[in-house]
Amino acid sequence: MADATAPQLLSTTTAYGDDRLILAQNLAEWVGIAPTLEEEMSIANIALDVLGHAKMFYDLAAELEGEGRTADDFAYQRYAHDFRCILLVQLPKGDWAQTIVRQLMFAAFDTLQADTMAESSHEGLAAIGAKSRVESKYHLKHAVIWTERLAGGTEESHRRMQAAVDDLWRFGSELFELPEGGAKCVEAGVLADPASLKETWLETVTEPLRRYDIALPEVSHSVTGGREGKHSEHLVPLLTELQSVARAFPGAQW
Amino acid sequence: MSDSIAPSDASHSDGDLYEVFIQTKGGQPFAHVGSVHANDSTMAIQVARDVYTRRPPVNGMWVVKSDAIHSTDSSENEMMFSPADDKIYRHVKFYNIPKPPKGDS
Repeated sequence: MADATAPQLLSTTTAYGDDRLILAQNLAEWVGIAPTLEEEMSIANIALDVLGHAKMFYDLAAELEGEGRTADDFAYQRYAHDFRCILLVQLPKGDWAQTIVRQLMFAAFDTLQADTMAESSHEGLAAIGAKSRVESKYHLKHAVIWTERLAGGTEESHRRMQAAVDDLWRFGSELFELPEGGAKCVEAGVLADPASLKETWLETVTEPLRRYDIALPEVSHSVTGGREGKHSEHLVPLLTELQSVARAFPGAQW
Repeated sequence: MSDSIAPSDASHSDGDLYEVFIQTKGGQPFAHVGSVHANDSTMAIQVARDVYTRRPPVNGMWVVKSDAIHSTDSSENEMMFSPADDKIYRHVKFYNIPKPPKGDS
């Protein structure tokens, strides 16, 4: 059964790796300029966890592909038009409130998805789910702690949280969009349908916001396209920087 | 000017200073590993987890507001802590307790 879905699993795991590689890179942008010295450690730790998840997905993708490529090849030798990450992770880090709102949205989904993945009949996916769910749970806890304190803090922090939710909410629906091949994986029973996670996700994300009077915007038009390779203007500069050393010294070892 | 070993000054615009204690294994003592600044105890626990618990094994962690800790002044160590080892009459084993006479109920 797993063999029949290998190409679909390949494109799905690649896309999930892409989500996390790009998110990790954007989280790492805070290193050196985080709001407190303690948060330097927290945000870097979270970025490294997410990068680790990216590597797990890329390692599985490389194995499914069976052409001798490595996780490094997936991360450093593909062009923006090959990436299939969602738009939410491509957005620049913004201010701390925007980073926290993105974390809240992504980590809430990631925790739910990892839980279902840990039960997958596909060994490789189950291993990723089991390992990542513990870390993602902490990312969500961190995001909720900060959401409460920013939304319920000063007039300025509340205003910035509201602005962040207003900006980012429209990118939320893409979390539930399956990558190419994902539908076949759901059909084959190796992947849970993300649509089944939406209700719990909504409650998890809106509960702390509601408690501190952050209103949800009316979204007239969800912004999507990343899963089809229609990316934001931010992805190319991000990848140019991320891949610059690997491309300048191809095959380098150290 | 006393040479204080108290936790350092707690007033700081980045919140309160908390001392962090970690227990490696259940039943073991909690050991002091350092401090963090935070605005409340929940945040203190969260940041202490990220700053201090990423490598060692941890079974439990305490955070204590630094100003809740009261310490001795090391300039008074001689007065406070001189051991009484040279005062043998204060040791339990110095005195021979005679055996009770036979026949006592």
